[in-house]
Amino acid sequence: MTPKALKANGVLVLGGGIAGIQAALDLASSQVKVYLVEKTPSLGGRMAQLDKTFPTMDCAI
Amino acid sequence: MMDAGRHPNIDVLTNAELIRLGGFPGNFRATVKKHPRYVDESLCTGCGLCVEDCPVVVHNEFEVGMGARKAIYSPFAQAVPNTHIIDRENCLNGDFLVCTNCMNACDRNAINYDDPGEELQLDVGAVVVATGFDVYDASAIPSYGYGLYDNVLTNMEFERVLNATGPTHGHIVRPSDRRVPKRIAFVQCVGSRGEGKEAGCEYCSRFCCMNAIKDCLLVKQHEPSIEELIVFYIDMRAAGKGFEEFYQRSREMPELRYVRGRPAKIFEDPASKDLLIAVEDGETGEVGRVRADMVVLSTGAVAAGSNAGLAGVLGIDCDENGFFKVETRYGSPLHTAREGIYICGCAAGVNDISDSVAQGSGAASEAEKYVVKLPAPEEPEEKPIIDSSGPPRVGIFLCHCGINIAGVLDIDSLKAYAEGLPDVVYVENNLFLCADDGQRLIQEKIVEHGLNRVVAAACTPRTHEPIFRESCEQIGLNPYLFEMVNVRDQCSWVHTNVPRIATEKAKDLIKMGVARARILQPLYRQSIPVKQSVLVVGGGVAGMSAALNLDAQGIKVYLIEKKGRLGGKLNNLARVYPANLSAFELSRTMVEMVGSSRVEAMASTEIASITGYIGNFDVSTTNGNFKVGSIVLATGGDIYAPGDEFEYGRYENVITNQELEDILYQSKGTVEIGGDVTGTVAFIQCVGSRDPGKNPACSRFCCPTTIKQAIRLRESGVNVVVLHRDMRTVGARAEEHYRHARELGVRFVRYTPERPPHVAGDGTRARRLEIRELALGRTLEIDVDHVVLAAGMVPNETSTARLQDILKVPRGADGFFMELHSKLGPVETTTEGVFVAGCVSGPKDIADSIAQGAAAAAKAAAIVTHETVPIEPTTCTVQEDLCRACGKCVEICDFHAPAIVEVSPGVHVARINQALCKGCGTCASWCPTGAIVSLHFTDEQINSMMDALLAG
Amino acid sequence: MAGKTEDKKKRKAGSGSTAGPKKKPSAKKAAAKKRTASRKKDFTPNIVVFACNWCSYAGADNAGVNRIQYSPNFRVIRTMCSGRVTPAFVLKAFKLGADGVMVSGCHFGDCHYIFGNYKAVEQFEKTKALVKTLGLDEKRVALEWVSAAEGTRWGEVIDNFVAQVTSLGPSPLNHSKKKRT
Repeated sequence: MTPKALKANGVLVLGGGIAGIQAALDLASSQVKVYLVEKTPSLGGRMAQLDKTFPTMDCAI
Repeated sequence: MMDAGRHPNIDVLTNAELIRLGGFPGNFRATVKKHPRYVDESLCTGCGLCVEDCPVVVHNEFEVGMGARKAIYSPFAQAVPNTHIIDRENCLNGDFLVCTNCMNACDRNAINYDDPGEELQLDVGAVVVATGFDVYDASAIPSYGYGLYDNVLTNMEFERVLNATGPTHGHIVRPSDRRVPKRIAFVQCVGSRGEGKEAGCEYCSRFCCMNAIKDCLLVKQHEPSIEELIVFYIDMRAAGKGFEEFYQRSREMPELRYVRGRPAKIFEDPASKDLLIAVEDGETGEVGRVRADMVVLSTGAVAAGSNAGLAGVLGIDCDENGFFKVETRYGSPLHTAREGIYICGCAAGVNDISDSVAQGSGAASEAEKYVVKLPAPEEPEEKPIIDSSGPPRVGIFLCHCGINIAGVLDIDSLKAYAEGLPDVVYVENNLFLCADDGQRLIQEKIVEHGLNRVVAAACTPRTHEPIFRESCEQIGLNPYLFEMVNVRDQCSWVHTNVPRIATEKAKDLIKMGVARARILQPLYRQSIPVKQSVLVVGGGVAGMSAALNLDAQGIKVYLIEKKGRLGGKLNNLARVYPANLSAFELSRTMVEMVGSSRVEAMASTEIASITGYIGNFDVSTTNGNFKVGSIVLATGGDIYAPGDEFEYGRYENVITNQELEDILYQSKGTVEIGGDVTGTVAFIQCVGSRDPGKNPACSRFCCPTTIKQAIRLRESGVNVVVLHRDMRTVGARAEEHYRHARELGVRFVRYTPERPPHVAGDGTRARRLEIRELALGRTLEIDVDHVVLAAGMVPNETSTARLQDILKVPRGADGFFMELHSKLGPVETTTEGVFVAGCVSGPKDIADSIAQGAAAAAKAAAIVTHETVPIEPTTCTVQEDLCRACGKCVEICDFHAPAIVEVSPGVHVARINQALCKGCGTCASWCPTGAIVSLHFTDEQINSMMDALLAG
Repeated sequence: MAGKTEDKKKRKAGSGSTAGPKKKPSAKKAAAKKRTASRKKDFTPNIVVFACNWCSYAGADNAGVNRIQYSPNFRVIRTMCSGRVTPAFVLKAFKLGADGVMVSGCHFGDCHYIFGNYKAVEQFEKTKALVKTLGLDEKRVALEWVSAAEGTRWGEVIDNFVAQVTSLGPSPLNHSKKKRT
């Protein structure tokens, strides 16, 4: 393992879809600095385009 | 999504991409290019004034080309960040044309046509790649006529049609004539499971089957008059928790017809624009043409076009399909070949939502090994507390929200009205209350006028209450003395054309808000101390994965296993697909890693009891007692033990795939079963799965397992026949292995539950399999030497029931633990601080179990990396003098927050554990004596609103 | 959250709602229309709607985001869960002169508190019985499920309920006969 002194304190998350958002939120709630980089102008990814999700039929946003 | 935009530890960089990555794990230097937005994020409030004045109308890519947007736009209604953006390619502000409409319209000077963008240098310890997929371009299959025929849509377009926020507002109409279609056909596997490159990808895109089923149910909901829905499919891959049950429910819909068959061609009737689908019914062999008003192509996912470039920047590889390549050495789907770079979601292959979410959490957990955590947020310095005990002094702030509110409601009249309300000492209006200057205004006026209650008449509390509360708190006013009145989303926006009536409604809403605000009480957030350690129950792959991840983050872990050794089901497997790893090697590697870590692993240990709550669990085991802050349950499931199905138990050569695995494990080279060199082996799928009487669920892993074993047998010269209902080869590389098995000469024969195969034999041995083939209209007889039953998975009844009893984690109808949310919370449970991973919540393969282990580790770590865990004060409490300990609240609460306690000898009352209470207030509504108070939503507060409205 | 590119179009599209007041561009005309309407029917109901925070209130917000136009003749009280709404709240509303009361929560399976909406059903059954005992038409109360994504449905549900209560006329307990616009 890398010695502690050499470690930075941020994580780069590429992609602001459902997986990237989840990774960012979990990192952030463990006190890790996150840079969430998304190519398009908004977070959301494909999920935001869906109407509802199965099987619970929750709204997708 | 909104949470990510608001979290103090997350910097959201949209319209941006990684262009360089240097350094090494633990210390990467990333260069991120932020492309210009031409709108300043710090100034834009998303009011939309600019959009109204923009003269350019172009296609909207979010609506998949169906809707329109302006050149300055917000990507979609709930976009994060809520900042507009100018599409400079279509903008009329250029060298020759000098339109400045949006700049003129913007009250906040947020528009900058010369925005150069910026390049950021970021020091990061690890990188998580979650770049997703691209949608397959359906026009690449000319025979389906996408792009040529108006009424052929893709599933992504159809999602937007169904969506209430979409281009048709959720009304289902077909594009050619805007008529409501009567017959809609869905064509599955468009661009997926193709034979040869021109037909798309070879793999299965996994989510399209369920998507089509869901869309069919939604169509019926939106348009009850629909006459027929037809789904053309090859195999219905409802392989996920609850999916098969969902599929079976859809089959009860009389309008919905499933036809097995891949359409050869789609024709358009030029006059009616109806579509004719040429297809052979795979079950009856009939060839015919089916007419439909509209066709939805279930297009699959392909690797994102940007992957190749990004792979170069990251220094990792792509596979032959263009997805990022996974390093499978550890059996985990989260690793890349480069340490410190982790992958999740659809970047490395197609995953559904819940697996993407679990992988996102898992990748986070892996990445955490390479970073130094931030110091705990500093305790906010003590603020002078504004005393609210005296008579209420209410301040009302009216937001214009640009023209969103002020354009409809008569602000002057509202202001005059508000000034006359009881206890109101100050009223002010402001263009944008949520902007920094608006918030400062509120703070100044609180101090200046000694306000002890604040009402904002603006947008919705669901998004903006936290912002206002924070501002109140900063200046010393208890945040729970703030009340929000929604005069935008639920007034000016929805009664736009009746401004006078809308204004009257706003007056009522403000009156109700003031009435409630007057009797709001300050509430104080409490926090409970957290034990900085985690208990992992179950030493299989999921449990070991969780323990190793937590340990790598420096967290104390107790790993307990009931059996004598770690490894779980891995100990009973020969090979692990898709990477074809030796299960023994993988198990040994993981067990050794646990052994050399600081994880306190205890085999042959069982739980005696667990008491407590999030942050503070007291665990008592047969091997000592300890305290932990959070718990991961990874006790797995059981392989279904067949009864007498298919003469199991009667004939000695009818075995389960688990028994076959044992044989394969022991054989080197040629496979011998029971001493014979085998001639023909027949597999029967779905034994103990997809059976409404026994277990309606699909066990998901049995199809890939059979393929794995079939290939192994075929390679050593055995004839193999697989009798199946649908081959559900979902998961990484499973479809490719299925294809490989067919190429090797494994035969696949379909059966239906109405016509199950029959095993015939004599004495102690099965000799023959008989199956009725519908297409050929004859009974097929297969001489067999062995029959292998693909047994599914059932919950481990004893351990699951026991843990449910101890920890109150609910189980679903299938007997597995219920996740908090089947899509968005796959490893969380309703019991805070308790997480699930692996087969304990439903059947999963090894890779998914490992990913879930890592995901649960991330969740458990998030709790124990903090010294304390805050609890919201909007909970319920008991006025003990009114309580007669009837126990109704105990019975009604799904979170087990209330309990009856003996406060003095013979005197019992209910008490609510504030750490467990979620504040729904249901117990307050059921309490027969009115002893329970739902804080912040008290009876008095709710009644005051009705009094103000109706009696005032 | 503002700034739809198609604001104007949407407003047009949304104006077909069933029971809402007829849409006219100017306040003056709307008021005139209103006066005509009140001469005809002479009744604008007082309706209280309890909406749960997570689904129905969010669905109402969604209607706003999408500029769905629907009847304004109701006032929302937000609760965290539909299970919070006691029969006593509903009865109080009627006692104070409400003409109709609606409780709206999440669809089954969507409840933020798992089964809160099932409990709301139980409470609502009691409510309905009590309302009948008071001699009120049970059509004056309604229990609905609207999800956070169902802005359109929210508008329809409100329009239908307003129309239903309007057709019943003023509540016999509404002694004040106070008119609200």
